[in-house]
Amino acid sequence: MIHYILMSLAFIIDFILQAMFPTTFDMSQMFFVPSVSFCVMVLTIRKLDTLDSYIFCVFFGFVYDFLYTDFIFFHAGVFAITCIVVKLWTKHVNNSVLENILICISTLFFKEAIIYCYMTVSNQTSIGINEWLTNHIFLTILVNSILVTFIVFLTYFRDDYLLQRESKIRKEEKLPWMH
Amino acid sequence: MKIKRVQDEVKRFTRFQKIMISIICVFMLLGTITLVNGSNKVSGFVYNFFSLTKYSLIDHPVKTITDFSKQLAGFQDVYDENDELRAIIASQDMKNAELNALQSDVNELTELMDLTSYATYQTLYASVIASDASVWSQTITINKGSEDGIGEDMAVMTNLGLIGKVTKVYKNTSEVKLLTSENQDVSVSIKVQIDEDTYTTGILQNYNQDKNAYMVQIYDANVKLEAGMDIITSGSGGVFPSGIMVGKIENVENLYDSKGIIVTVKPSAEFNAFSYVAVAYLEE
Repeated sequence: MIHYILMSLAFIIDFILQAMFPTTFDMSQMFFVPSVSFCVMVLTIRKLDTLDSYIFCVFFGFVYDFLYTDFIFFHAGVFAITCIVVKLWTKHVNNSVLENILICISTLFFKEAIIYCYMTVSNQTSIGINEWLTNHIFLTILVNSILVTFIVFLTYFRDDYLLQRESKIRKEEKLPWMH
Repeated sequence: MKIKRVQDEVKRFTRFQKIMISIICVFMLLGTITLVNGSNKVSGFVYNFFSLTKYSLIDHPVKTITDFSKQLAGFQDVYDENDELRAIIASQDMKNAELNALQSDVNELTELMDLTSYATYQTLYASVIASDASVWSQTITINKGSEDGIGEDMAVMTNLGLIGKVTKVYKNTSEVKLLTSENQDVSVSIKVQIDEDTYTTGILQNYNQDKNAYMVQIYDANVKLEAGMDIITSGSGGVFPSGIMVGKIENVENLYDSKGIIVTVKPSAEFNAFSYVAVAYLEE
């Protein structure tokens, strides 16, 4: 449950950032897409088991589709693919700050690349790869990598809280076979 | 041997997982219905409620604070601007009188010729309360809906020119598809003023994000077009009113074909950020 609460908080942070830095629809200008919620999602699914991760990703994919964009089922699918990649990669990565930042930024790039490929293939954009990298990706990665640093520490707090809660429950637990 | 199933031994899903899967199923059902039938009452209500709540609780307070800090920083600029505006307002009465005289001439002539005028339109002002965060869908949401008289296909503009059209209408909000979207399902009829009395017509086909310009097809291949000429809506087709600024010709590429000339047009409206828009509708 706490994962869902943290994710909702991340959505609110995204909304605030979006209100502070309004979206530009002029593709020739540099802009960034606040992706705090996405980064929180990546860091959360690392901790969850497989089924919970997929449920978490698809649920927030649908929330993203319904509330944020005009494409239904699209982000639910993209987030599910992202989940597969993170689950595969997470086996080979530790839990250090740097590695967490790296996994967030790489996954963010991967997600944006999938969306760009889909938009190009479905003829919804004719923007070139150079313009996409310069105007869309550069600032998105740069600003989000600063934000991710705070998010990583926030998830550490969450994990500590979860550990403490678990140890408290274990302490209070009375196992009948021990008596 | 009879195997007894131990209670809670093997549970496929926990209670929380079951709840979440049910919610996802509801989302999928709602999404399928929306995809098949377009927007429905449930999705409209949810979108309406969410957009207005988000705008009231987050966007509006944040915008007020950022605007206030900006205004405080540019206080001297506002003072100078105020002086300039006073001078402009002083000359406004004369221009209004001139405009009224011309408008009455137009009305008289239109009535005399028994024509339906697409040049006279009313505007309804609205605030932009949401926009697609990832930019790809090129849609914005405004705080006026069917209750305010907004209808589908109405033209939406800023003070600089045409920006899009209303695609979905809910009770208190509406979605606007911007002209910068490449998969436009609407073509805008336009005209270009060649000289004082001559116009040539054409159609705005789409927006090229790579060139940051509209691609406009001019029907008459023999007409001489130059960079800098104004492109305005023609009103033919009856979807958009006439006389709304679209942009200026940037480049005539001399791509002559049997259907005319293709020109690239620089949009007059700025698409970086807009908080307020006007919805134009034809007078009944």
